[in-house]
Amino acid sequence: MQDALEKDDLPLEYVDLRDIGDGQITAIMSALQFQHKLFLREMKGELLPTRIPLDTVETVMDFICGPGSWCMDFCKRYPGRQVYGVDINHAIVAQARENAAHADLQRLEFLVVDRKRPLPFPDEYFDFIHLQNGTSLFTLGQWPRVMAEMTRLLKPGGWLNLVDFEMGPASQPALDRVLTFLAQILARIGRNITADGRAPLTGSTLGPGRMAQQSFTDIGYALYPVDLGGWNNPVGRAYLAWSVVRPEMIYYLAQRTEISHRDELQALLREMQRELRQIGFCGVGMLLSSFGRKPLTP
Amino acid sequence: MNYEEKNGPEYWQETAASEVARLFFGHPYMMESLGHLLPPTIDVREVETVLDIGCGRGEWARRLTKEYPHIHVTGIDTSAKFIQEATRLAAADDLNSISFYQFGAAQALDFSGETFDVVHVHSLASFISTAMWSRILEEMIRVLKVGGWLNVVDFELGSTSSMAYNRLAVIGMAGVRALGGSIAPASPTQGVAARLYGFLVDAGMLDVAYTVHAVDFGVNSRPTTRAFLDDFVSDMISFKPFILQFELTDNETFDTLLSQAREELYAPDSCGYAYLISAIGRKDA
Repeated sequence: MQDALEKDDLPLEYVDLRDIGDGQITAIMSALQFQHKLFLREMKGELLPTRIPLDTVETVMDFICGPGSWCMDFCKRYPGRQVYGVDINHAIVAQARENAAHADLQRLEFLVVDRKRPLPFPDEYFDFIHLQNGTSLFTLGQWPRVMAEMTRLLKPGGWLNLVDFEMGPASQPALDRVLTFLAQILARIGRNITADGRAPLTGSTLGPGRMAQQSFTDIGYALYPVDLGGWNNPVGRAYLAWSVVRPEMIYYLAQRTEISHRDELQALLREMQRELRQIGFCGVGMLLSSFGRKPLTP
Repeated sequence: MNYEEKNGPEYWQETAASEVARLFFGHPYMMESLGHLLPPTIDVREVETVLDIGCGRGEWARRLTKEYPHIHVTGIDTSAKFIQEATRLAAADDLNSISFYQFGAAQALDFSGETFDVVHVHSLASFISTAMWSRILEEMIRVLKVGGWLNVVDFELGSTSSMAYNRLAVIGMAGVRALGGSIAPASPTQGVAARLYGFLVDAGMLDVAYTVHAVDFGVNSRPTTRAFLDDFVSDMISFKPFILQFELTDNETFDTLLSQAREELYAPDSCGYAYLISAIGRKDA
């Protein structure tokens, strides 16, 4: 866990949940690519809400693009647009560039940005911005600035799409306890909207309201229930184990936020991993895709 | 304070809260959200007899016989009041292949073994305590014909954009837990919906599977959402005495939260969801 220890200086509000663990960023990259496949399956293969007309879309940003799975798929399916994949994480963007080089895609560029500064694009530059996993990356306090920046970057009439996953109920006792730990971790790092901080809910339901605060129009959302268990669902099970309750991530953050004793947590995480392999395991989550449009007139 | 110990495991289903919960979970909007009356895996053409346990006012049973007149449905519930209303509503609709009986959740079911092609239970969690789970499951399988299907459906809260509602949900769940209606060891959930599938696997049933469905709380999501939210809010009001009785919050806080929740849930940019999980299994010879 050397790499994780080096990140101890990073204030908790800037922790990137994707970039915690044993320094093997490629393993996390695979998990994120896998997440994209799962989400796309759940959303019936739609890369963006059907409500958004593509004929006027020329310039697109995938903000927090991860390994570039979404923007690469977008470029393949809707060629001819200028697409920017933007992320705060150097290692992740390096991986995205490598992935895209193999795919030989035109008009796709990747950028690393500093989350504390405005993004390096002029005002009213994009027709469409896709932002996935924003609720687990930004704190509740950071969201007003994120939304102001998205609004600045969108052309009048441009569309924003926020896509976030929330964990729901699960069947096994050790996982149930791990999820309450995860909830407490998320509360400590400012990314939990629950009153008692005991359910790991990051605020995906606040998407439409956040757009309303920016006076967006045509606001709407769609729900996609996600199955994470069952005997015949290796894809859902793997997403849960590799991403949602990734042991390295929980372990590292539980130590930093001092929510659990080391030995107790290690035993619990081992028990949880055993549970996730049981035939009778059931777990569910919700994928929420909200969208809205920057007003045509200010 | 452990209310389950103090009041015995049967206390939860005897509270008025359990009736309110049953009506809420048996709301037509829930059936709409599920998208079907019975899972498509079940071939309804071959189904003749159905038992609906915890039928409430018989909403589901009435819909099933209307859609499939060849099916006879028997609805049972622990509430005498619900059985009376279910009988009256079925008569008003001129439905003949439907009958309703009251039953005691703690007793064996009053049917001989291998009677039904399908046993359907919606929101069992709302009318039996967790201590009774294995017993009732055994009973349901006993009255099922060999090769017949057991279909169990349950509800679990998700999240909404209304902070006031989210707080009320936490308060309500604390009450459910105190009364022995929750089987989740740590999380603020009822814990039943996610366990249905495992229960059927553990009971040795065949072809066990489940599906997950969203109950959408958004006012603009469907034409019927507003009516659902109206009922939902008045259900919360009937929960109030129970919440005050167990000192989960005070009168003033409850009223403030409820009026805030109402305003927030009805806002045009409101967003929220809950889960329905529907599990099925077939009885092994």
